[in-house]
Parts: sequence; C-alpha cells; structure tokens
Amino acid sequence: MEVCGEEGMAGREITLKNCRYVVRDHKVIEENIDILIEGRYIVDIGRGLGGGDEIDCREAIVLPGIVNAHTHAAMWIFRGLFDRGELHEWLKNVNKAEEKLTPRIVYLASKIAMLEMLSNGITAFVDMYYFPEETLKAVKETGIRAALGPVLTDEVVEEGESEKLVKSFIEKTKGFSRIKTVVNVRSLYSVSPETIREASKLTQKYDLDIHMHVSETRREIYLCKKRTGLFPVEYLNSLGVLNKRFILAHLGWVTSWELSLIKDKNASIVHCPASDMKLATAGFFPLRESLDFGINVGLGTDGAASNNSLDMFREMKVAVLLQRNNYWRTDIGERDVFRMAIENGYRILNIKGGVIEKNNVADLVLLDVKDLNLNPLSRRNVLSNIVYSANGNNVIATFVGGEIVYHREQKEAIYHSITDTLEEIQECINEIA
Amino acid sequence: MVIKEGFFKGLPVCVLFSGGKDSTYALHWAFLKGFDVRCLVTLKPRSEGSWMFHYPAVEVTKLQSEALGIPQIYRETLGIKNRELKDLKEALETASAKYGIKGVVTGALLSDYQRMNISLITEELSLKVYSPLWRKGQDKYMLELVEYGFKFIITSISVYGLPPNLLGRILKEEDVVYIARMARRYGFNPAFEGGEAETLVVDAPLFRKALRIVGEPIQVGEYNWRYVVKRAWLEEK
Repeated sequence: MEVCGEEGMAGREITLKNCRYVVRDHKVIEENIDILIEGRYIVDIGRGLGGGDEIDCREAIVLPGIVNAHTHAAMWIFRGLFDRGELHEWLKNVNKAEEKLTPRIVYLASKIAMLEMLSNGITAFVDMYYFPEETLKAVKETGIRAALGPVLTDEVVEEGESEKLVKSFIEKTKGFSRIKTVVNVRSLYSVSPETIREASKLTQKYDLDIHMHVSETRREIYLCKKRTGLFPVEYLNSLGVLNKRFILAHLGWVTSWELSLIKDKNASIVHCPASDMKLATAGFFPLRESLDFGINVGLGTDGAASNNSLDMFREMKVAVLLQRNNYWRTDIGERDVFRMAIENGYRILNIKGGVIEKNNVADLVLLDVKDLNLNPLSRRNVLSNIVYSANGNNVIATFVGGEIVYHREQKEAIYHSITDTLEEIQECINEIA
Repeated sequence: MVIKEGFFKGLPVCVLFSGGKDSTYALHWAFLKGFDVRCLVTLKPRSEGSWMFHYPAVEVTKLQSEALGIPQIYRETLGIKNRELKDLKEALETASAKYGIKGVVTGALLSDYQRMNISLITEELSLKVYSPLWRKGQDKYMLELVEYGFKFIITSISVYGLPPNLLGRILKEEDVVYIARMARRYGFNPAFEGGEAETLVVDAPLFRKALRIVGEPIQVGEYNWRYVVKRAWLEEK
C-alpha cells in the first residue's frame, strides 16, 4: 500500500514563482507574487522569493485549498442511480442499495471520490459513512486531508462498544496530522437520545468533533416536535450536547430562535445547497442571518448520490443562486461563499489554513489562467470568476500540506490506474441497479 | 398515457387568506407560478390575541373571495394558542377533501412561529407548503406592492410611531416611504410582521371588482387604534 503525506516528509522547500494572482482570502488579492513553502507550511509570501523546487506560476491563480465540509465519499458509487424521489423516499432506495456494499467497495469508491475531489481543488473533507476504516485507508493513500470516524448507532452504544470503536479509530489516525477523528451520528430520527449523549461524551473526552445531519426535512422537524415537543436544535440543546465541537449539516428547516442557540454555543453549520435542492427538501436555510450572527457556516456537496457532483466551485455558485432566488435579494455574493468554502471550512477542521499567510498549512489550489472560462481576467473579477464561472476542470494542481497531491498532467494516468477498480465497482452497481 | 393531476393546471393549492397585503400578494405569486388556486382558507379569531391569524376586518374576506372569484373556506377560531392550530388543521382537511388541494400557500414573512406551525400541520396532512415572502427584504416589498397595483388600507395600529391618520385610506408610495422611515426610527418591522399594524386589500390585479369600505377610526389604547368597518361592498372596476 502506498501511503502519502505521512509525518516526517516535511522539510522540502517549494517556491511558487510569480503567481499571476494570489487570492489570499475573500478580501485580499495580490498580483505577481511568490509563495514559499517549507515542509507542510507557507513560510513567506512576497516578491523575489526563491528556494527549493521552483514552480513557474505566471499562468496560475493560486487560492487556498477548498474544504468539502459535509460529504459521504463512498456514495460516489451511487452517482446517477437514484435521481428521483424526495429525501425520505430516496433514502429508502439508497439504504436498500447500501446492503450490497462490502468494506472493499467502500474503500474503492471512497478512494475514487477522493481522487475526484483532489482533481477539483478540494484539499479536505468531512465524511460520514459506514466502514470508516476503509475510507481512512483511502485517505492515507491519496494524501487528502480529512475528518472522519465511526458512525455511532444505538446498537453500538447498547453493546458498550462505542468508546472502543472511537479509541481504535483514533489509534489508526496516529502519525497523520492531516487526519482527524470525528464522531458521526446520522440523525436525530435514527438514534436514541442516549446515543447522542454518548457521542457527545466521547467527543469531550477525546477532544473530537461531532458531526450530524440536523433539520434537513420537514418530516424530521415534525417527528422531533411530536416526540420531544422541541425543534431539532432546541432538542440537542436540551440534551446538553450543543457546543463548539458540533458540526450541524444541512439545517434547511432551522428556526430563528435555534440560530441564536447555535450562536450561543458556538457550533458550526454546513450548508449543502445542491443536494438539498435535488432532494427537494424545500427548506429555507437563512444564510445571510447566520453569517450576520457570526455563526461559522461551511459548505458541502453532500454525497455524490444526491449532488451528484463533488465540485465545490459549483457548490459555491449554487449557494449564491439559491439564496438570491429564494430571498429575492443579492446580499449573498462571491465573497461570502468563498469564505464559507475555504476559510470557514478550515475553522470547522480547526486547522490554521484557508488563508494564504505565513505559518498556515500549505494547502493550495492552482487554476489555469489560460482556460477561457476564467477570462476576461483581472484583479477586479478574479474572485467573481472563481465563484461564478470556474469548475474543477480549471485546476492545474492541488497541494495538501506542501505536497502536490494532484496535477492535471496525471489525469490520464489516474484514469488508467483505476480501470480495474472501475470494473469491480461496476459489477457491484449492476447488482444494485 | 396517464396524465397526472395538476399537470396542465399546476399544483392544486389553497391560500391561507386573511385579506391583508401578505396573503393577497402570496395568492398572486401562486397564480404567477402556475399553481391552480382552488380555494382560500380563512380563519377568523374570536379574540384579538391570536398567535396565528389576522384579527381585524376578517369578515370582509368573504367579499374579497367574491371579487377574486375563488371559493372560500371560512371558519371561526377561539384564537387560543393550541386550539387555533387544531382549527387550522381541520380547515385544511376540509380544503383537501372538498377541493383536492395538494399544497398550501402562505403569506408568512418573518414569523417562524407561524411558518413552522403551518409546516408541522401540512406535514401531517401530506401537503406541500409554499411561503413566497419568507424573509424577503421588507422595505422594498412594501414599495413593490404599491407599484404593482395592490391597494390596501391599514385597519389597526398597535405600535408607537404610526399615526392614526394612516388608518382607513389607501396607502400611496409616499406613505410607504414614511412608514419605512418611522420603522427605522422606532425599531418596528416596516411590513408589520410583528403585528404592528394590520392591513386590508381593497383592490389588486386579480380582483375582478374593487372593495369599497366605510368605517371610522377608534382609539383602543395609548398607541392602539382600530379602523372599524361600518359598511363594505364591491364595485365594478
């Protein structure tokens, strides 16, 4: 097994020379500037820098790595299989298909999803899926940054296995600073309150994040209200589990008073506009209000089974479009979604990154200024082009922790290297379909 | 080939209709979206303290229904917090049985209490819910109403900062600009989502006849005023 990006590979110097544009964050854009990387970190930004391997970036836009803050990588296998049905109906079909999945298929599908994400400029992702050890194996091999971990169920908790599961997973991530363990809980309606409390207890004990689908559909809020008398976020708060380590995915059906709770507890939200729209969940995620409240909101594609793309450039654009169409106003723009997909994503991961500055991790994406869809190009419209016109095909190279983990020139080789895998996966798809 | 219901005429829906500007605007939106608006559903609270429904001049909605040429399900409710939700559910069940509706259109602007309660009820009845005005920019919305030909009067005032001379007369653009200025100064919602004032639409693009109102303002509290409708009738436009 080839393992990529382990600790100890640090120390190598790379200079990105004469970058045409460097989008340092959602506000600052610089021109014709160098970035010096040493080991896993950015050590300098300026003119006249040099050292180590020099990469000519005169024809590149450099931006910080993009974080897909909520996905299910292995669901890559279901892309294009279930394109109809509102969420709960869709979920029934998916759950049935999932019975056919083996650990090996999860490993293979996750790995291809990661290769695809890297090719789209995604440097990190937050994952929730069965057989997380298989996904972990693929993370180690591909060099991508990830937060993933066991999915706690009532069964696991009742059998007293949850702590063992979490500890064992943490153990497997040791030596990989780019991998974080999270405790996953699928949803309020799939587990008992004891399981949610147990998940929270473990995250506190081991200093981890908890990641959960919340207020995704009207049915969910209805069931929660009927069962508990409270809306989902209120209910989580009543269980005493809402805190700064909580990652709430979706939240299309959140109420204004629940936003206040999220703010007070400093929890994070991940908005998944394309998947929510495709599954016709029909909520109204109050993005402007959440950002104005100062809540950390990231952006995610959700799984390829419901998106079906794993391209965060598209997701940024869709996030703007959904808000503008829903609310008939234009106060969400390119800066907001760039910040969400990048800076806020790194805040969710609790990693010093998402901004191109000294001492931040060297997670970077290079886009090709020669691609026609990125032109006309100037300092004035570079951010606009990234959000409204770019797509994953514009990526020349993706760096994670100072290493080039994807380069456009490898595209064909990557495809040929996975031909057998694709065949194996297709056999599984044939059984499902 | 089997043609699904609603394929040509759009989704059959009812509009939760109070006769005020928001539900009337939502009704127009539904038409513009191609929905098949089969009926209006109006609940008249018996008390002023309703959490869900518009109180003043609700009886006049019967004339608005006639002006629109859309049938109405009209029910009284006690205006007591949980009881009125039950009444709403029953009214929607009637709309579903009588008119085959599959969805509900509401004029909810900013009240999550209203929006979420309607969502919970419609989930139980397997009806879709549409709230086209939800969280829309409200200064602009008020101006658009006037610009698009919605003629409405204020029928109650419950906030400091709105003078009683606004009662009972059709609001013009300058009135809306003034209201927005007062809203900023005194910190109330410019579209009255917090119940700062209630409105009654007397004419709108889809009205076949215009509503005429005769009434008088009465003071019911230090900053509380009502416009009591004495007589209402429809006139050819």
